[in-house]
Amino acid sequence: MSFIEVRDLKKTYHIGEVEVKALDGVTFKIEKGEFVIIVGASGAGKTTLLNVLGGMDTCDSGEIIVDGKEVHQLKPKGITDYRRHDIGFVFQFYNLIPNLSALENVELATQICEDTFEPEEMLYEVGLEKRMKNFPSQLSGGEQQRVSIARALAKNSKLLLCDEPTGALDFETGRNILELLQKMNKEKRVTTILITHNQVIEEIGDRIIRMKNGKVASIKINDNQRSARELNW
Amino acid sequence: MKTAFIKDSFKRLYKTANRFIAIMLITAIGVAFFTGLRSTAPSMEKTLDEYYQDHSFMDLKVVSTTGFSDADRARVEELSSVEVAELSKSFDAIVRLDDKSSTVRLVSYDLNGVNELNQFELVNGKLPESQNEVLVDQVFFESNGLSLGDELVFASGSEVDIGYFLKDSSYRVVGTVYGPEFLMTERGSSFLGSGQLAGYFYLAEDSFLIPYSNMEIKIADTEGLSVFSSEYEELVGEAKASVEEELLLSHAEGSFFILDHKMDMDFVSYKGDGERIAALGLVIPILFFMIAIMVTMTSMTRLVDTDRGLIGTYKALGYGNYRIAGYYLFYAVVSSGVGGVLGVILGYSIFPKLIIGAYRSLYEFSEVKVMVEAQLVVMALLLAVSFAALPSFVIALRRMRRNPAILMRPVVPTKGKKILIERIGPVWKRINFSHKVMLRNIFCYKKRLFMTILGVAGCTALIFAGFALRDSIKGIIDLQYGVLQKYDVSVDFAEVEGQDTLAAIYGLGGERFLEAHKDNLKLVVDGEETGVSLLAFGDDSYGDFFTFRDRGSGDLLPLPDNGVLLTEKVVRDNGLVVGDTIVLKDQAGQLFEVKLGGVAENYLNHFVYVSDEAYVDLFGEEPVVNSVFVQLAPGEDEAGFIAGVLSLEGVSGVVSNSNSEDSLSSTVKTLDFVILVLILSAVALVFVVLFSLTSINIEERKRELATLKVLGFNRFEMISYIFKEIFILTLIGAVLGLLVGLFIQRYIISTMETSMMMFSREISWLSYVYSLLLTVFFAGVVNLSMFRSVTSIDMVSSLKSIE
Repeated sequence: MSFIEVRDLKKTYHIGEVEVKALDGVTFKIEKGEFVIIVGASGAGKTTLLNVLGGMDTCDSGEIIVDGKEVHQLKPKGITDYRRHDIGFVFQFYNLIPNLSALENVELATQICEDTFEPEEMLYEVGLEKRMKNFPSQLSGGEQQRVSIARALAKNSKLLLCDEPTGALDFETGRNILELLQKMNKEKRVTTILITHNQVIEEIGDRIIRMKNGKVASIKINDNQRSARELNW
Repeated sequence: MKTAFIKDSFKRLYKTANRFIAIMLITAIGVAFFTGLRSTAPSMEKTLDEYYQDHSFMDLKVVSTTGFSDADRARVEELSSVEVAELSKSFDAIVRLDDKSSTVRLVSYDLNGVNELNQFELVNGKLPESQNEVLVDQVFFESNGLSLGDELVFASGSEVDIGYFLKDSSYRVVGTVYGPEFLMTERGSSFLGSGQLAGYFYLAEDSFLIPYSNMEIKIADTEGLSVFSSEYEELVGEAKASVEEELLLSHAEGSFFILDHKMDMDFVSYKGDGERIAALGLVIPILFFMIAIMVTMTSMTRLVDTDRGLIGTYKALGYGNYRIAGYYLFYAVVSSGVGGVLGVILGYSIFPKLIIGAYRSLYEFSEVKVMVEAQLVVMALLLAVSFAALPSFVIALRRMRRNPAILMRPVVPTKGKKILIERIGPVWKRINFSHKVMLRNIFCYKKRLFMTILGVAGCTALIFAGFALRDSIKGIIDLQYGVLQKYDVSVDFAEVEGQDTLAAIYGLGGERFLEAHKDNLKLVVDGEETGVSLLAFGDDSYGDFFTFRDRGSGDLLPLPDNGVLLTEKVVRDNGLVVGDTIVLKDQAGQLFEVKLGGVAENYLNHFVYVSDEAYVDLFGEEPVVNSVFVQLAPGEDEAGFIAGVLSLEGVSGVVSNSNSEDSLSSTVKTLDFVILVLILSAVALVFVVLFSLTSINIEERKRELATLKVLGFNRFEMISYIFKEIFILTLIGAVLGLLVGLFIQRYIISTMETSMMMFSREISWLSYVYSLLLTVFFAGVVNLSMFRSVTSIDMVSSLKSIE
């Protein structure tokens, strides 16, 4: 049994009279410790997939099994626990709490879990040891994203999900963030799933899943995994 | 026309209906209080003016000890400043009923002629057709349970037989009336009997054997003038002068007195009440208006912020700033305008009638007239709308001045700041993380914090003021009859053969007795007279019946050696101080000077307390026992005792404290209703304020909350994240509100006391508890209703939009 198994996942949105098949029978497997890139055009269904995987949205039918847990069967309380303990999420727009410092933002996440990493340590790891007491408004975009990553990683969860983490950042900064994610994935061996519409990024992944029209178009195991440092977009 | 824009505008309005309604409601409440309270005093004036007009009330009354002739009347009527002059006869007498004897005023009524002035209003029955018939005033009729057809017997209450004054002593009740000369249901004082006038009666003029003692005058050129106006005062002054000049030709100086409105105690107290309510109308609405403006501005600001992206889009499309901002102007104008109109309707229909109605238990009106001043309505609406509309428009414009690109991008995160407590290292470290978060939240949204506290405080203040008022009013009864005057019945009797009467009373029942001497006098200060009852006691045994004490300290006051004790209200109203020399006037008009030795706590009527020795110094004669206070044995039949006492010859007045207590309790009930309205408004207030502020709070922090949900915060944790602060703020606001409520209550008491009655200043601790509990309860209900909106936040949509 793979670490993550997704079988025939379906989700349809009903907006008035219109039906949008966001996920139209998605199936794939992911092994523990992999760095997975899910890539596709806008509307392909990647964000929906991530949201469902992360317990932020429900599916209509299909199965999601994460480390043996049947996520699609979970009731609301179970889903909350799932998000709490098993998932770390990094958003495109950081979503830090504005009136908490960087350190406190990370603490906010660790306070509610057991067996977490030290918030201060995580901030060190992401290179923000000097900026721990600063508030989000005092940090640059890249720094904010690092805090967000530290927050997600500090939870010591099974899965790290990243939704276009470099979408709001410039090339240099974005690349640094990807480097960081790669490093964390290798060192901490936390299974990472990153979605993007930027095909250049897919090169840093172990596994590349291409999505189109709500279906998996292709799954490729990447033998030539590149370091983020080498990317150019 | 730009129909798409207009279509969108209406859709947006419809979507934010909650906000619209909130603004409407709070504006309605503010305007209701503003117009309602401010229109009450003018309504009081209007009610009285119309009442006087409808009954052709006199402007001047001349009273003479030597009487008037018809020739006198004609001469006065000839004067250019006089329109009508009439004569009447009146005197005070005693009427005996089953359970008490009361002092009443008998007034003549011209059976055949036309009574043009002081027309009374027939309520029940018919006008007298023969000499043996009498009309009774409605209040007396009701409170004594009389029926049409009853026979009433009058006595003189003195050594002189009633036959000296009236042809017969017995008359049949044929009708009941309201008469304008006796406005207050407290009829005022008399030299006779108990000293309190209980009612007035109209008898055919021919029944009276005394000469005309009164001349009633209506002065000329007063059409359309309010009796409260200065033009009226001027005319009265002129007329008074010319009447005096004329009468001096036939009457000796000092044998007659001309009275105008200012000397009419009823009028004076009514005017005073009106002025005090006007004062009330200045202060309280400000509180409401402030809160209304606060909430409206916050709501509108939030509305503009929510539409950030939309505004940016419109701008990018090329719509001008003013057009876009125009939507918010429209929104604010319509919501506050509709609310304002609603408030005007509510205010005018509730307040004047309610407040004047509460006073009605003290005054006698058949109908309350509401004065609607267009000026006030317009002012209220203008104020409400401009305070809502203008800031909204300005804020919207300001927010819009940025270029479209910035508006359409995500909001720059609000600046986080270190709060004061943080700087205290050791303290900050000790604080639990979730409390740290809460403190940060409180201090970073300072404005919101301040408004929540204010809203809650306002609510608590009103509820507390209501309860405290109730305590004060109830307190009168408890204190006056439970502590200060501890007797069941008081009996006044003639001094002649007083000892025999006394012995007879003792024989009828009762357990303990206190003998005293009583005089009904007038306190004269700067030309103004107030009726007081003087009581002289022989020994210290009065302590079981009366408690003379200083209200502030509770210290007992002994009867002074060479002075008197005076009860508090009359001292305060006349600005007297211990040590002052005061002037007392007796029935004959003789004046006596005496020193004020102490101020005794008292809530009803006015008393002068003196020892027998001091009495001798003061009046130069020994006080003769003519009054006795009786404490009945538990379970003794009070009505039977009183009936027996009344049958005794020398008895002139009997007052039962339990009867007085009962009539006071009904006053309390009327005021209870006023208090209920206060509490309901308070509840409405806290609902609207908390609901608005909290929903804005949640909306603004939707992103934050969604993030927490993603992080895995469960329902309870999410709720405490937002509501812990609100809970603490509610507590702070409630405690603050108690303080404010205390001020409001004190203020209301000092403005609402009548001339006869003082309100107790004691507030029960339960009132504090109830106010706090109620506020917290209502705030809790509002907050509870919002829990769902916090826990049901959709993570996906909250986090994906860029704003």
